[in-house]
Amino acid sequence: MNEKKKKHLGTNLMIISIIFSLCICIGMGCIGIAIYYKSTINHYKKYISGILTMAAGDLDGDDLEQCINTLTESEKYKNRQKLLNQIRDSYDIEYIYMVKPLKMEEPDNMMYVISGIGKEEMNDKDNAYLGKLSGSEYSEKVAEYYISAMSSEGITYYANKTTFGYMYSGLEAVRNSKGEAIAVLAVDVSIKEMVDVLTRYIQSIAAAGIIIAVIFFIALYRWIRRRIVVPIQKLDDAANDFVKKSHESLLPSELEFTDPEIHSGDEIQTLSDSLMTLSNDLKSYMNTLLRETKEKERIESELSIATEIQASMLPCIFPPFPNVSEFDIYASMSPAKEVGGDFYDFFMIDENHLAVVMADVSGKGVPAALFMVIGKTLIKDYSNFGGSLGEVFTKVNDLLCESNKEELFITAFEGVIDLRTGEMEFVNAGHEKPIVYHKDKDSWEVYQTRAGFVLAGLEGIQYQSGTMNLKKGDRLLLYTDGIPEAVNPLKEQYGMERLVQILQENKTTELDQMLKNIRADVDKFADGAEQFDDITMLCMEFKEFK
Amino acid sequence: MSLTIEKKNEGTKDTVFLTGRLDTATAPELDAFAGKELANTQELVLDFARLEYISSAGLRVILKMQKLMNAKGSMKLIHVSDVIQEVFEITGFVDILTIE
Repeated sequence: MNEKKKKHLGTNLMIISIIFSLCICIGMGCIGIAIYYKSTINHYKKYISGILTMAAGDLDGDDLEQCINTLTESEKYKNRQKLLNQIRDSYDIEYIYMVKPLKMEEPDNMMYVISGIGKEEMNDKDNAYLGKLSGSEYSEKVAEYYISAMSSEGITYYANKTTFGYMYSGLEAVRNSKGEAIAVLAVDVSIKEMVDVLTRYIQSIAAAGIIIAVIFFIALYRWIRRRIVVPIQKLDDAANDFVKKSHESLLPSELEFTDPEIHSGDEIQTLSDSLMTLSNDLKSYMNTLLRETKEKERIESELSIATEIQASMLPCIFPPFPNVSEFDIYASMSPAKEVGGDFYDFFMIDENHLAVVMADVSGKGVPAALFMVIGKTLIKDYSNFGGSLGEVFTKVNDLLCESNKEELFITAFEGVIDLRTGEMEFVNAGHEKPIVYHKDKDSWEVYQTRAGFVLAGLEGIQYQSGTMNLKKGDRLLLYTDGIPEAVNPLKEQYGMERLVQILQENKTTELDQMLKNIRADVDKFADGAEQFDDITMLCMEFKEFK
Repeated sequence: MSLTIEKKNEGTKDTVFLTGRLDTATAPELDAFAGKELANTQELVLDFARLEYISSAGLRVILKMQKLMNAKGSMKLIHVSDVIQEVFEITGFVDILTIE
């Protein structure tokens, strides 16, 4: 069994909705910041660019180069110093200055050239002057921007956090008449305001995000709980309840699916309705099954009664004529299904004549058994009327054809023995040949008779009877095709030779035991293979003339 | 333990080849076949060359087919093996069937 802890839909939903809300806020915040940053920075760039143009206006590069190389202040240098001082005072900037980048590594990687000094700073002692080295004011990373500005056209911008706060700087190379860069003119603007705005923006976005996430979560959670979780829990409970009921009770009437009463109109309602239908179907299926099982039991019990009735229709008390000494008779039938299509019969027509009948109805089961009853009754009735056996079968055949919608037919053999003479008149309607034991020859003979057509097959058939003679000690065996056609697992048939063989072995055995021995031999041969056909035998021994 | 039924059609003549066993279990198949496949047949030939066994239930279907064909044409059996011929003789079916 999987012991995994059961997860709840609600918990999962909560986690998912929080993550989802946070993602939306972060995404929106990032977009807002990007747009604001871009537009503000563009504004700064224009501002810086204007100031740089003003500060570099009419600059004599060659003169400035001379000043830098000799570290002396020319007239033009002094004028430029004044211009930068004015710009420093007039515009909202932090610094305006010129430096000459010397190298990347600290310290002293820059040399100051000119620095705009505001009125308020005039008296500061650490103001920059021509030739002043930068010490550790410029980090290696920042110095790199200056070096790169020396070798590029236009303005290089960069943002940087310094001890004076967030700065945005624009750098432009100053060139001599040959176009060689001799210094970098730089303007630093404070972007503290922008950073403050952004910080406030992020804070408010975060706050709004959390509020939105909470509202969103609560709304989603309540909605999902109402529309999905609760209905599913109801369904779950109803289904579990149903399963429990079905385990506890076998009565369909107690198997009630509690309607979870979901009317959401969506898939969950469909699911609920389907479950409802399914359980009702199951209930009606169980009812049907119960009814059919009862019906089946009833049919089975009726079938077993039918088997008993059928068995009781065949003479089954042995010896049947305890006061008769002229003959012995014994018969047995074992149907392949509950009711069989085989039958045998024997009866005294008058005090001197014994009739024996063996027959097989085509097909098996109840239809064959019903047809058998008709056949057996007709044969017995018409035998008692007198006349030749050929005439009896001719009449019986015509009557059977009248009531034979199912195209069934009967193979039948009937013999009538005159107990005074041993003469037996017989008729064969497509039945297995009788086997006769001649005591004087000590052998069993399959009596070759030309058989007529089966009974109930075609109307108007004329049957001919024949005669044979039985002597004292002779035996007559009648049987159905269930014996010679019994098969073993190799699909071999039992056959006539085996039958004659076992008969010879039992020639002196009592009749009832002989039939049991034959049956046992057939079973041994079949070796567990299914019995396909009824097995029926009748044996008579003629003991003495009357 | 089964039966294969194949039909060869030549106009109104049908030849039906039966292979296997025609017994209680398989006779209904032939019965059903006869019920729906022989509507336009006037001349029916049953080829028994590969039929191994016939039981009384099988005989019943053959009789039914014979009666059906009696009403609208002819039926004959060919290549009947000795074993099955013996069954036809025992049951008297030789009298009502045309066997070649």
